[in-house]
Amino acid sequence: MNPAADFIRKKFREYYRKRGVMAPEGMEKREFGFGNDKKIDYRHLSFTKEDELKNYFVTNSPLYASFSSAYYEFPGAQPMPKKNMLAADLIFEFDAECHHDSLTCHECLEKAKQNTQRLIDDFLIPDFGFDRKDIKIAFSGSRGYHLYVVNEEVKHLNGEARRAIVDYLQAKNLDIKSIIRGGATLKSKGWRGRLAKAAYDYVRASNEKKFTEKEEILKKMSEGNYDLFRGAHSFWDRMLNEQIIHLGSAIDQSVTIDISRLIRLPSTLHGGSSLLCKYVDNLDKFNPFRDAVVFYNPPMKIKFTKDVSELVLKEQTLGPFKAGEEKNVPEYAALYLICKEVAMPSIL
Amino acid sequence: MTLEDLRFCAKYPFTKEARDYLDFLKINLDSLDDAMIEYGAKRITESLGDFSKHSREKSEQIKTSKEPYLMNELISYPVSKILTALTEDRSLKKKFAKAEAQKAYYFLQLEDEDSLYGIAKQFFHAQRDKDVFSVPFQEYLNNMPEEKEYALVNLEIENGRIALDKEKLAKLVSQYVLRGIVSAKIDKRDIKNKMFLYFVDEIKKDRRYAVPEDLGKVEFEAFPPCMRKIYHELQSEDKVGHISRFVFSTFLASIKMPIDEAVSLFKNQSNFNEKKTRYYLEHSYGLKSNRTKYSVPACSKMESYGACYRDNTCHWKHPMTYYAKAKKARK
Repeated sequence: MNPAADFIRKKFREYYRKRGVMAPEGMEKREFGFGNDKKIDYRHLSFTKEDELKNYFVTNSPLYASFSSAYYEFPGAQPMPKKNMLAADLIFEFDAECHHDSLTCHECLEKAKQNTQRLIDDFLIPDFGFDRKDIKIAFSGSRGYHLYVVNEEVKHLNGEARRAIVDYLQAKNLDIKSIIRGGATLKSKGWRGRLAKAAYDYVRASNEKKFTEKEEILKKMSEGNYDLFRGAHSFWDRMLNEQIIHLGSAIDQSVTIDISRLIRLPSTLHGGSSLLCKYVDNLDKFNPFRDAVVFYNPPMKIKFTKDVSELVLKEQTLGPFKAGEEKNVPEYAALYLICKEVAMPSIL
Repeated sequence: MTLEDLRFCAKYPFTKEARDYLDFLKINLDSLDDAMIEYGAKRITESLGDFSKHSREKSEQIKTSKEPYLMNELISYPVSKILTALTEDRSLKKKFAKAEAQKAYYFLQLEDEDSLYGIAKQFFHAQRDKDVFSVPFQEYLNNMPEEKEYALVNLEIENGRIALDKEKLAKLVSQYVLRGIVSAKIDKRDIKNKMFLYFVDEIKKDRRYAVPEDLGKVEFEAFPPCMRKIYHELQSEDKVGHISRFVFSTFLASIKMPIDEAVSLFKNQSNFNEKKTRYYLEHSYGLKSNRTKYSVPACSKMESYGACYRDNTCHWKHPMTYYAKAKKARK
């Protein structure tokens, strides 16, 4: 557990008292889970009224709050089968797998953002035919984004169907041979067309010697003739790799597949960062290290327990800091660093 | 109704035409005689052996037989479906469902585009553009056949609709039949005719199915790599995650390790609590209130849990297959 957990909880409480929380759609059918030590210490909770939910946050101020993507007849019942699942939203998770030093790595979150956008523009809308207005994006409060598809049609997809969608986005089991032999053209739909187009674009832009008869090759390709690329495994692998949606680890994928999973509740604070998990309207312009910071400017004294390299919050550059050092920093930065377990409040 | 109409109903007893005809004849659960229920039970047990062969034979008979046989085929379908649902035995349901689906597929393939489309529209929001059909992806995914060629990646999808040729549409309809049988649920208390319950017991007694493979003495050396990993992790004090504990306990239950022995495998964990561990294990062993015995997840599931540690000794799709094969190999 974070050694400053009580302090964080106190600050979170102040926040929830002022700003409350937003009840998710269909709240009374959702399961909730909360955590202080781990992300989820207890689950199988349910709320019937918005006030009840708000009061819970003011009273308990959990460090982590999650809710189910599924809707249940009895969300509070256990074990799971007794809940009687009625439906579930379709959710995708993109976490930045950041191995950089910075505690506020814009680059990695940017990558997660691009993946999220690509999923919408290249797959969810053209292939699956979803309406943009049915797609909601939330910043998770930590390392990534959650994408929700909320419409009646996806609510009843079973677990296998959701796995098939994940497999589709990653082109798992794609029969490349049949694309090469079967003459996929630029007009083909789905992965056949996507790969045909990627190969075509690649050759068109390439200066490689082997493509000297470029026009001839392109003409053949547009007719679905890939004789030149038979057995060119590394070429096809490269095309494929550029097009797939990297959903990251198996755990990220299981958010989509496992309908009984709980996910971070938008409008609540993340105990590992103090940032707000929130819906994002304009993904392009969204900067989590500015737009999800909710605490204030007055300075607060903290003592660093670890070396910290430079970080940028609310467009202000802070640090670097040395372990053992005591510094006054704005409250929002103090809370961020304390939640990251690299500093302690000096008053403790 | 002509003989050919009746033949249609016997080929496709899951269609509206078949149901309407049964309604017209006023045939319902309570009006069935014992012979017909027995016929339904036979339809199930016969499908439990080599169902491919069985489906082929049945299909031939339907093609050539006259009224009494066709009538029996028509009426026994809903009877069998109810009987399998009452067995609450997933593997039996699946086998029967596969046999029925295969039979349906056989006939559907032989239909021309118009008739196939007519049948498909009963179950899917299908559309047709000459010889290309399409269905909404949600409906496709919820009935997707397992074979690689039916994976979404290998099909053309645009604007939420999946394009299918005639053969694939036929397969999809047959898969719908399969799913209908597997997911059918029925409450025993709603069955007034007790002969149904009698035949359910008879089916269960049938030794051709449910010969539980007795795997004999527990052998750690035969554990698949994923289970071996969890087993070793449990020996340390580092906390092993919930999902790992869960799959491990389903595995222990499946290899029939005595529960006391199973409990003791968790005792090195720093947060070991005997009572709790026993409680969870009893669930996995199906000894608790709702008696659901959880099965060991297949490798694809294990992969999605991030719990698959396949090595070059592991070539199967299910951890239990590995265990059974490894045990056999050690003999």
